Amino acid sequence: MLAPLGEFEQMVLLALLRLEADAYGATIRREIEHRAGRPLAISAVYTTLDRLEQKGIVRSRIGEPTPERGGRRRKYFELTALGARAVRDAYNAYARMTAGLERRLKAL
Amino acid sequence: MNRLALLVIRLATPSADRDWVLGDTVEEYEAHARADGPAAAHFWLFREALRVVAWAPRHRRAIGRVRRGSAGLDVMRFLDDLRQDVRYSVRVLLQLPAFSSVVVLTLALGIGANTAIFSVVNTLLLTPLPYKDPDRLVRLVENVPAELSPNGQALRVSGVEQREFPAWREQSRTLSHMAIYSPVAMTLSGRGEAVRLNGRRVSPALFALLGVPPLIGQAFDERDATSGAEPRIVLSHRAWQRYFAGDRNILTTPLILDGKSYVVTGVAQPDFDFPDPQTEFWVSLVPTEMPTTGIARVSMIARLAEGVSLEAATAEANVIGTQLRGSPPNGESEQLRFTVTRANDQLVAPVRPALLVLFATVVFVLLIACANVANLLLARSSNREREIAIRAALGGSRGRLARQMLTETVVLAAAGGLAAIVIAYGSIALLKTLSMVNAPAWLSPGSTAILPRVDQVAIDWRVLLFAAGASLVTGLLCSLAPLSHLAKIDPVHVIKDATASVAAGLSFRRQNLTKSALVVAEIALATVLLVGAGLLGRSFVMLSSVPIGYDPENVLTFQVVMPQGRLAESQQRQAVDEEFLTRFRMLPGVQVAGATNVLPLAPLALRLRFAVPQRPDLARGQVELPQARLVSRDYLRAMGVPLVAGRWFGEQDGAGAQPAMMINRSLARQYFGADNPVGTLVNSIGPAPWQIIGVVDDIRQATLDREPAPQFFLDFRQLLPGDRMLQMTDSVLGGRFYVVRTNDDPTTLVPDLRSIVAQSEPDAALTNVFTMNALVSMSIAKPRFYAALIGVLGVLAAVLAAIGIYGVIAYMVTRRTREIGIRMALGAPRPKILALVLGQGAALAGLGIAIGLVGALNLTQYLRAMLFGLGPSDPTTFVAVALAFAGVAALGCYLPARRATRLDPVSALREE
Repeated sequence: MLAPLGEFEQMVLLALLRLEADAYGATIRREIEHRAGRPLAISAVYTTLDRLEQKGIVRSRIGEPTPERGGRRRKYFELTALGARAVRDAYNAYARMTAGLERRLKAL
Repeated sequence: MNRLALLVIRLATPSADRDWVLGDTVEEYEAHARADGPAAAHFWLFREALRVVAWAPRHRRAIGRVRRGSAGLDVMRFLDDLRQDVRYSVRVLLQLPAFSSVVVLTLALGIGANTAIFSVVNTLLLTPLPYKDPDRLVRLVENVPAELSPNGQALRVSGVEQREFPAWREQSRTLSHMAIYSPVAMTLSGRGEAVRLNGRRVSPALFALLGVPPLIGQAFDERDATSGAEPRIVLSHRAWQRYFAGDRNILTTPLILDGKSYVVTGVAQPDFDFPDPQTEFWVSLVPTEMPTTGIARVSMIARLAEGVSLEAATAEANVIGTQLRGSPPNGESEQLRFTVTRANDQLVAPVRPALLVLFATVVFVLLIACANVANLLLARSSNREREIAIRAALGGSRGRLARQMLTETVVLAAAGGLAAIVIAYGSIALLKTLSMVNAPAWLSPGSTAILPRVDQVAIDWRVLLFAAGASLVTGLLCSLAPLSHLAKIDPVHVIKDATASVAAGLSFRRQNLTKSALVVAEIALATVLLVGAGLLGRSFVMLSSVPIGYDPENVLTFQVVMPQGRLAESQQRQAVDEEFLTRFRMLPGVQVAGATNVLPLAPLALRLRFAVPQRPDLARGQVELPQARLVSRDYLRAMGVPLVAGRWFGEQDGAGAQPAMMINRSLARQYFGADNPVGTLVNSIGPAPWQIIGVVDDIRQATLDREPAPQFFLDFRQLLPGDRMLQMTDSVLGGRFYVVRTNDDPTTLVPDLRSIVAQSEPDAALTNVFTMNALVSMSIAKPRFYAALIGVLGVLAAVLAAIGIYGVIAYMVTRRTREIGIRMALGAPRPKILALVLGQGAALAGLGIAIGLVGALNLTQYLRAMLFGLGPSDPTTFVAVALAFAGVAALGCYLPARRATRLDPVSALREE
């Protein structure tokens, strides 16, 4: 049984889902900053990705050198099967907990 | 974009993640710059760098767990890190070609010299002799006490007296096999020009004892020991190839040696060279057929019986020896009369002290090389101080940094070790060339083979292992100083100081001390070596310039060996001799030609009666008899011996005339003091008294380092027919020696001389053709070998030490550029600056030389046995070395000092 995901972990995983094949450090950070409106340091993203990778929730691969950013490579991240289930579980739990509360939550 | 921030990120991140982390950083930085302007982006970058630094250690731990799981494969991790370190080191070092090549070359010279000398030690001490079960091969050594020794000094002689051998063989129970052997030379005739071969008479048991069967055919068996048996011979592989072109039919072809027919029973294996590589054949030693005159002592080799110790064999040898010689004469002495020693120990014993000296020398050279490399590494590590400080500040552990540094040094040492093997390879070839002297067997012993078994010296796995070990130890030794320096780097201090690197840092001063100590040490070591080299060199020069008593320039010498049995009658022999000499003299370019029974440098002393009525106190038994030598009329003139008084032998001193004798200066002084001996009558061999007709200068007879002994000379023509002495002329050293003095290069005459001999005596062998210069040179080959070897190593040491002092002074000047600039700006005159820098160098050099001289005073004692004409604390050498080395050191300091005085104060002050 997997330990439940933390909040920031969930945000990183959702960003991964959204970015699909373009998910790497800088885009993930920007995606979260942009959508959640929360400024954050890239090292925070790295730390979380390290932890997720350790748990087997994401996997990474080093890409080919790119012409941008001085010809440097990117490290791409994607969900593993375990990760997909974890995100789904987290979402389902969240959805069930919020079911019927939409109006009241908005009113808070 | 700020380089420092990027450097921080680069250093902080593990190498595998460096690329993408930097990529993200650049991308983000550009995004920030677009959105908020460069200043904000700059600010962001610095914060980002610090965050990455904070993240990196956690990341390391995280990926560590991902990659290796929980199996805890620490070895793998270690190897992985090692591989990374090595690759990194190689990359870094390749970027510093000058630094790396100097270090590698220095180490290669040091390790190479050690490897070469070790390969000799390896062969002599660690590689068994190439015979069966060589550890059980032993020799009998007799310790002759001083009171019984012929020259009044205690002697160690190997072998037994031939007449005693049967008793030894019958009584010994501790030795399972025993064999004796003695040198013999024979003329091979009947196959074109007669050739002289060198071989050994051996007990038939020898081949079985050594356990080495011949390549083809058989060895001797017991039949060969009985007198009257068909004479058989075993040929060496080299002789078989050289004279018979490896023909297998040799086993069925009889050979004519000294007029006697021999059956070739076998050919030895190619690497069988008992007892020396010059041996070309072995014939059976039949005790009853051995000559009764001449050398009675024969060499002996034996094999210890199973389960018998050397001590037991020694104890038994003393029991047998006592029976043979009567009560033990060494009653007082602690030392046993006889000792049984391992064959290889006996072989190596004479060179062991010299080998130790050589080994100590190369170790010194290696230590000097180490000190130099340590200084270079120190200089480099202080150039890297900032990098190291930043790495340390960013959490790079000291251990990891130390390991990186160590890896770098070991990589350098390994490269040095590889190059050293090449150097060792060349040095071994050189050693072989220098130490293999193709001297005739009769020349003073010790000059023929400087190092025993040197032909077997090669690079084998032990030598390679040694080179690898030496490289590793050297690498560790060299990194000691830089490592202790690393431990003392204070990151805060260094980084704070980063903008103004005025040479005032604490670490700088401490490091200076280390560097100075290293330079002083290497100067001291080099001084010791130079003193040793100087002593040996000076000793060699004294030896080679010692007055030898004759002029060896343009003199050719050779032997003519008559077939045995022929010309036994002295009259006939004399006639042939006269014919030879007359025809030699007629050759173009020949000034004088002569003959003698013993050439100078042959350590053979024939002592004959010499009685003068005026000196009854010097009668027989009171003093040692003088040495007698037989010469032809013109021999002394051909050798260029100066006439001191009287006249030379002349035509009138022929057979039947008044017996005439010439004496040397020593004999004249011994018997006649200041009086003129010419005209005095002397009783010697024969019934009639001999008249002294002339006095010649002293000749160094046996070796150049021995004082000339009293000698007298008799003319061949005046000896009576059948005189025992005349017969010995041809039996002891193989044949008469001829001496031809020419106008220029005498070697061009050899073909003419050969054809003269071949025409008049077809079965006589002309052999041992050498110029007198070559003989003199060969007789001092051993001291020359050591003087040259240690001289080369000493110069190498001095050059390394000079480079060392140059490096340190140059480094100091660089570090003090600003200070010197300030001094000059404030008006310090250039000479004062020069004195400042030179003073520092002089202090180091002076201290080093002083320590070295004191060390040398203690260490050169070990050279005593190798010195001639001077003591181990010869003041001239010590002073000369000190002055010469001071000069070299001064040059090493002067170059950087001059650079200091040429500094432009303005640019010196502007320099960072």
